[in-house]
Amino acid sequence: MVWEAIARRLPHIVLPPPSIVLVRLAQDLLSGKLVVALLGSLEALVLGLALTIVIGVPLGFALGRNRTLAEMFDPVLNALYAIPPVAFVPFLVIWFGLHLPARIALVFLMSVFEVTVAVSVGAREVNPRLIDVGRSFGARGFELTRKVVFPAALPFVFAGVRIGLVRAINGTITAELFFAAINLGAIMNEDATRFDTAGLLTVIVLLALLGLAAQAAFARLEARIVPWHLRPAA
Amino acid sequence: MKRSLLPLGGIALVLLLWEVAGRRLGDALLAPPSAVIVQFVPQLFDGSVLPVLADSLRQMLIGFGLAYAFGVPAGVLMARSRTFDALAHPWLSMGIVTSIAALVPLFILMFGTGFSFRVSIVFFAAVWFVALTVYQGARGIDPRWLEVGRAFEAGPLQSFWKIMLPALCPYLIIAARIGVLHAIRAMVVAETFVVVGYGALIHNSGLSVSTAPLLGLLLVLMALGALATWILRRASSWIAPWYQERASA
Amino acid sequence: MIAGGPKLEVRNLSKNFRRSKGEPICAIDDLSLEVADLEFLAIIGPSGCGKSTFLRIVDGLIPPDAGAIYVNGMAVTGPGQGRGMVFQSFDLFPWRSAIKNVEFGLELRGVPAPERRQAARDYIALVGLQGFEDSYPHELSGGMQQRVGLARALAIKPEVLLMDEPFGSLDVQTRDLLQDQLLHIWERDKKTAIFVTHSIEEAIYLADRILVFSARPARIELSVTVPFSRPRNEEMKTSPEFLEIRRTIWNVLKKDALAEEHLESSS
Repeated sequence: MVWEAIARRLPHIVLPPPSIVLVRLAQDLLSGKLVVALLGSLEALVLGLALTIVIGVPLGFALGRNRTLAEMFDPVLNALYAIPPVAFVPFLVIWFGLHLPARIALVFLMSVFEVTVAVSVGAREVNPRLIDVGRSFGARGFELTRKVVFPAALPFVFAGVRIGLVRAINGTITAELFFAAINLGAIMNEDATRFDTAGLLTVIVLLALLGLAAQAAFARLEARIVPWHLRPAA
Repeated sequence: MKRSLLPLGGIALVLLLWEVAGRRLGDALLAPPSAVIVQFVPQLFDGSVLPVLADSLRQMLIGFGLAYAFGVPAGVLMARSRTFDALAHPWLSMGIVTSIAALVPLFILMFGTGFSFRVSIVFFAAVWFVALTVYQGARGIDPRWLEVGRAFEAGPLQSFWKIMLPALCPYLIIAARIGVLHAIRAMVVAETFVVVGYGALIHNSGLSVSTAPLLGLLLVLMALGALATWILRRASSWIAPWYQERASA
Repeated sequence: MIAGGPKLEVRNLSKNFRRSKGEPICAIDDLSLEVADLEFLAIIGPSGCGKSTFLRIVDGLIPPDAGAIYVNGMAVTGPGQGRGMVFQSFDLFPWRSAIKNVEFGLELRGVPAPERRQAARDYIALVGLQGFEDSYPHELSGGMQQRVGLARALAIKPEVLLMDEPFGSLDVQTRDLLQDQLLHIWERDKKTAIFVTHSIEEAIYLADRILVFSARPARIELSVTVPFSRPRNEEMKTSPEFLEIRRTIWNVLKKDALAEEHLESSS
């Protein structure tokens, strides 16, 4: 409401009111322009996130369950995490060029730390008494990991991937703007050159809604798969 | 005794792997640490990096300061007032998930590419995280503590100073830590996109034949993030020694 | 197995805990005991006396520094092998339903699915939880959770049943009910049992024999044979004999508790 009130007094080029943005969002979705771009963006998103899960989850488990590994590599991980991912862009251009591989790499870089850290915390905090129960009934080695440690840490894996998913969506649009403009990034570039703030806001709102929807959908999936996990009130 | 050497061992191992990989791949793909030292350290002190960095940091700190000054009261207000929470929470959720990079083209149209652009990007990147952290902290204040305060006849102002503020202290520092990291990230995003300040250095070093200067600039950012985290962690153990953070994340 | 020999034998057991600073703590020093076949043994002692540590060593969860455990005259190391444990804080797996928790041990032993499902169903029924097979632990009360814990331990048909203050975190009424239920189950299908508790009444009510442990390092201070016949019933708790045993044990425990208080206040 505040936005609408302020925006109505300003020229639309500076800040269009939400009513215009929402109408525009509906129009561009129906015309298929945004849908096509969104589908195009999915490729890097899905591949980058898959890479993050494949690497981040096992790495997190290793760091969480092995104290020596954790003490050796936690500082390295924290240091890498402190570097803003976008600062890697010139580097990624040298290694991967300007297209899909570079976008996947940036999506991966922007999401992998969140997932690794969340999983390692989860794996570290597994209730030691449950591990004792497992051992008491004769579980050892890999079986102990599979039947006790993994399910106990699963809620943290979900929490990590949920954050990673949002970061990956951000990574996707970042990549589309910072490497060769494509899909949603190309739409934003065009809008920018035409001073079309409403168009830009439309894409931003779409992305934010997408992020929220993805989070909500993931939370429902989580409730289905890990129903025992009573989440503390956020 | 032996345990405390492990982190150093880990860092040494990574540096060694990097050195070996760098020598095999060559400077153009991955300059080894030795090349970074030789090529970047002189550059660091010849006046082409540090003043630029200082200028970028100054603008970042202004944006972050505004975000902090705005985010802390907003977080407290959301935690204490149901109405305000209902009004503001959807925006907070949106703000948290919004990509900063996507905001950059919009903010350029709105503010140009100068000082106000950079400050507002940093502000927008950090404010949500500051507000959310403070909100969670203020929500976590046990109402029984406030009841104890009332039982001892503390007025509203007294219970703010004597109970709310000390209870919030650790969260104020965590909020600063998370906020600063997001502010640095946003600074890099904004500056790299419009090629100014430290971001311009990063962008331009990507064009040089050796990756050594680029890696050097990344290491500076890394040191900066680590330094900010370290200072704020120290501040936390100094101001609120009773508060133990559970996870290192 | 030697006929008439003890079911479980503990010989010269010692355990120290290293600390980051200072002298290691001696939890158990040269402890030996025997448990006869189908005997219900209760162990009682002041808190922190090492009785839980003792039980965890017997279960094989932690290795002793010296000494050995024999089941049927054969030395055992590590967990599994004929012992089943009921844990103090239930410690059910929150991601498994009641019946899946009971199946856990059978699963590890490679019992085929239909067979272990039937066995788990039987044990759930034995502890009186029919209809709750598919409930998750967080949907069950504390007493129900511990009944699942008991069923889980019984399902692997252990030669020796170990119970580490199993009712310690329950309220008094639930505790009384579960004591009766445990007696009922045990008297119908007897097996060798070691029950660690800090409640004197619980020990007398349940056990055939009670060992009173001293404060650290744990030594056997007193061994009491409980004269009551089985099945036990509530009236026994008010009989003069019961009160007499209770007084005897309390006198021994009180001495240690006082010594402990004194130590705490002087240090």
